[in-house]
Amino acid sequence: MRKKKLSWILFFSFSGMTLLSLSIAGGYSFIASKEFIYANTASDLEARCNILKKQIWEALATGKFKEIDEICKAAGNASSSRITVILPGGTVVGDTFVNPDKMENHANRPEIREAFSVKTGSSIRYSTTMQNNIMYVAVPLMVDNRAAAVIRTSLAVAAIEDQLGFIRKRLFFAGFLIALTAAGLSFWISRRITNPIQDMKQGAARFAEGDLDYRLPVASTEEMVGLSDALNQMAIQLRRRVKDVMDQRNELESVLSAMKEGVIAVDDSERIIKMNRAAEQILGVSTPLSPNAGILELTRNRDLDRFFKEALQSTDSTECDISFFQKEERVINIRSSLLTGTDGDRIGALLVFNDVTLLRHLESLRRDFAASVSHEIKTPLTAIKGFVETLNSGSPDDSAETKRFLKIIEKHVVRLESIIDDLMKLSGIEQEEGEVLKDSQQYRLKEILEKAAEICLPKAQEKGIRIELTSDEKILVNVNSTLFEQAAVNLIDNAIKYSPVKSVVRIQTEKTESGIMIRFKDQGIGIEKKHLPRLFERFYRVDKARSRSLGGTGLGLAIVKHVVKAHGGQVFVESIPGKGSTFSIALPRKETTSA
Amino acid sequence: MAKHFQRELATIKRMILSLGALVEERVRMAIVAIENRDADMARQIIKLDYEIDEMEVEVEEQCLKVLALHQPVAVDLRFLVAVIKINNELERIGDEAVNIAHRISVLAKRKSLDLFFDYSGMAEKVQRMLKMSLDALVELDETLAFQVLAMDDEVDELKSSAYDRIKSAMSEKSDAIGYLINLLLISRHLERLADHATNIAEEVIYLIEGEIIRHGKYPIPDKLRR
Repeated sequence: MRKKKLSWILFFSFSGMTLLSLSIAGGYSFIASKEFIYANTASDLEARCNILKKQIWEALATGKFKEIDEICKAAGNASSSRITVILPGGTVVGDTFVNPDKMENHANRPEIREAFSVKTGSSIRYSTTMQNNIMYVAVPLMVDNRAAAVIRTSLAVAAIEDQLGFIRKRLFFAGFLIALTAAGLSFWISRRITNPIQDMKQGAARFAEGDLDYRLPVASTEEMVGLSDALNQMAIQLRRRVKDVMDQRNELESVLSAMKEGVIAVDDSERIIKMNRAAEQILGVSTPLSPNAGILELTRNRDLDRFFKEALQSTDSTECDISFFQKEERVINIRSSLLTGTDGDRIGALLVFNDVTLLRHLESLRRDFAASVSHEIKTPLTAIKGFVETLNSGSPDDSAETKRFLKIIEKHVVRLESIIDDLMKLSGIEQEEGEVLKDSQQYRLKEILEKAAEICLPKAQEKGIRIELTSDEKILVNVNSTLFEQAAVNLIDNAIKYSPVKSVVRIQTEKTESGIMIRFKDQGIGIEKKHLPRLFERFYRVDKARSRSLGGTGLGLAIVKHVVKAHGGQVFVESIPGKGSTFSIALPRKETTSA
Repeated sequence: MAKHFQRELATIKRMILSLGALVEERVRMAIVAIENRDADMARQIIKLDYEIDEMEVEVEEQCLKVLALHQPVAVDLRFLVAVIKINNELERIGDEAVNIAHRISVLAKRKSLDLFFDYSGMAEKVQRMLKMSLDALVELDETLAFQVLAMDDEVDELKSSAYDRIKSAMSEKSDAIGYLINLLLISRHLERLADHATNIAEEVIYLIEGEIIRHGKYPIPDKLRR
C-alpha cells in the first residue's frame, strides 16, 4: 500500500479544521444577524404604529374616517411602508396603497386578531394585495382598556431578504478569503514540520550508504534538534567503530603479510578463508584467490590435501612435513590448530607453513657426519688394532712379515692423520671464515694455479695425464694463497684420480660480469645427477669402495667449498656420466682486480 | 535442488583435481626413476597404480550419478563431459607412468652403459605440460590450454631427435639393442604422456568455448602465437 505523505495529511487536516470552524462560525453569525434584522424590523414597524397613534385617535374620535385614510397615505409614503387602520369588526378605514372601501374584511388576519386581544401582533405571510411575502406588525389603539382600532404597518420581506443576501455575500467573501489564507498557511506549516523530517530521512539514507562524514543540518525545533543530534552522534560513533574495525583488519593484514611463515585459514568445508603472501609463495600460487576455492585448486598436492582433511577432523593441533615440488623439492613443515568462533564452535582450521628445507638438510648432514666420521676413523683403527695384535702374539723372528705389517699399520696411520688434518683444516676455515681474508694478498691467479698444477704433476705423469692451463696473466686475485692453492690442488687431484690414462685436464679462467670464473675440466667417468647436490658434503662418496681405494679422505671437496665460501665465492659442478665433469669456482669482483 | 547440484559439481571438481594431483605425483616419480634408474621407485609406481584406477572409477560413477539425477545443461553438462574425458586421460597417464616404470626396472637390471642419454629436458617439458593443462582446468584459462597445445609439437620434436640418436647408437652397439629399445620406448611413453596432457588441454578448451578442437582443426588464436 502506498503510504500517504505526512505533509498532505497535515495540510488536509489543518484546512479541514479551518473550513469546519469557518462554516460553523459563519452559519451562526448569519442566523444571528437574520434574527436581529427581523426583530429590528418588527420593533421599527411597531414604533411607526405608535407614532401614528395620537393622530389616528384624534381622527377616530371625531369620526373623520376620510382623514384617517389621508394620514395613512401621507405617513406611509413618507416612511415607504404600508400603513393600514382597521376598526374592531375588521373594517378597514385607511390604507397607504389601496382605497379602504374596496378592501375586504381584515378581522381574521392573525396579527389583527392578536392586536384586538390587546397585544402587539405580528405575522409574516403572503399578501394577496401586494402579491408578495410581507411582514405585518399590528398595534391596538387602546381607549379605556379596549382596542378602539388597530394600526398595522407592513413591509415586504423581500427588502429584508435583500439585506440578508448582502450580509450573506459579505460573509461568503470573507470566508473564502480566510479559507484561502488558511490553506496557504497550513500548507506552509505542514511544510515547516515535514521538511526537517525529510532532511533527516535523506541524512539517514546517506549514513546508510556509508557516508558517515555527512552531518545533518541543525533543525529549528527542539525535538528535531534532539533527533538530528542523536543521528549525528550515531554517525560519529559508527565512523569510529568502522575505523577501528578497518584499522584492526589492516593491522592483522599487515602482520599476516609481514610473516615469513605462510598462513592459511580454512573453513569447515575445506574452503580457504584467508591466506598470506608467504603462503602464496610457498604454494606457488600466482593467480589471486577465487572465492570458495579449495586447497586442491591452489596447489595439487595429495599430502597437503590429506593433511587438510586430517586437520579439519582432529580436535588437536597436528603437525607434519610435506614435500613440495616446484623448481626443486622443498620441505615445508605445517602445523594446524583449531579455529573457533566467538561462541566456541569450531569454524575451521589455521595452518602455518614453515620452510624447513634447509633445517632438515642440515639435520641430515649432522646425522650423516657423525656416522661417517666415526666410520672413517674406525676403519683404519680396526686395521691397526688387528695388525698390532697379530704382531704381539706372533713370533718376532719373521722380520719380513713384521715389516709388511708395520708398513700396513703405517699406511693406516698416515690415512688417519690425513683425515684428521683435513678435518682440522675444515674446522679452521669454518671458525675463522671472516679472518681468512686477513692474510690475503694480491696474487696473480695464474701463478697460484701453476703452483697447484706443479704439485699434482707427479700423479698426473704416473697416469700420462696432461694438465693444460690457460689463464690470463693480468688477472689478479685477492686471496689467502695457501688455502686457495689447497683448493685448486684438491680439484686437480680429483680430476686426475677419476680420469682415464692419457687424458687431458683443462684449467681455464675467464672474466665474467660479476667476477672471475675458474673451470677445472676433466674427461673422467663423470658423476650421476642424483649425486650432484650432495657432492660437497663431508664424507659424501659417490662410490664408497672406489673412492677409498683411490686414497681420498672424503673431505677434499668440502674443503674446496669452504675455502671458496670464505672468499665470498661459489663453487659449481656440472657433469655428464661417461663424458667428464667440470668444477667451477666463481669469485666475486671485489676479490679480484685486473692490472 | 540447485544448491545441492552445485555442491555435487564442487565435489566432482575436487575429486578430479585430487586424481590430477595423484597422477602428477606418479609422473614425477616416473621422471625421478628415469633420471636415477631407480628400480625401487619403479616398483613403487607399479604397485600403487591401483589407486589411480580406483579413483578413476569413483570419479566416473559420481559423474554418471549427477548426469542421471540432475540432467544438467549447457556449461554444467560440458563440465561433466569434460571431466569424464579428462578422467580417462588421467588414468591413461597413470598407465604411461607404469609403462615407464616397467622399462626402468628392465634398464636398472643391466649395467649402466657408457652411452648416456638424458631425458631430463623432455621429462621436464612433459611434466610442465601436465601441470599447465590441470592449471588450465582449475582456472578455466584458455590461454594456458592453448600453450599446452603448442608445447606438444616441441615434445614431438624431442622424441624424433631421440629416435634418430638411438637409431644411430643401435647401428654402433649391436650388443646393447635390448637396452636401447627400452630407452627408445621411454621416449615414446613420454611423448604419449604429452599427448594425453594435450587432450586434457583440448577438453578444457571445449569446456570453456563449447567448441571441439580436436584433430588439428583448431585455429590457434593470434594472440597466442609465439
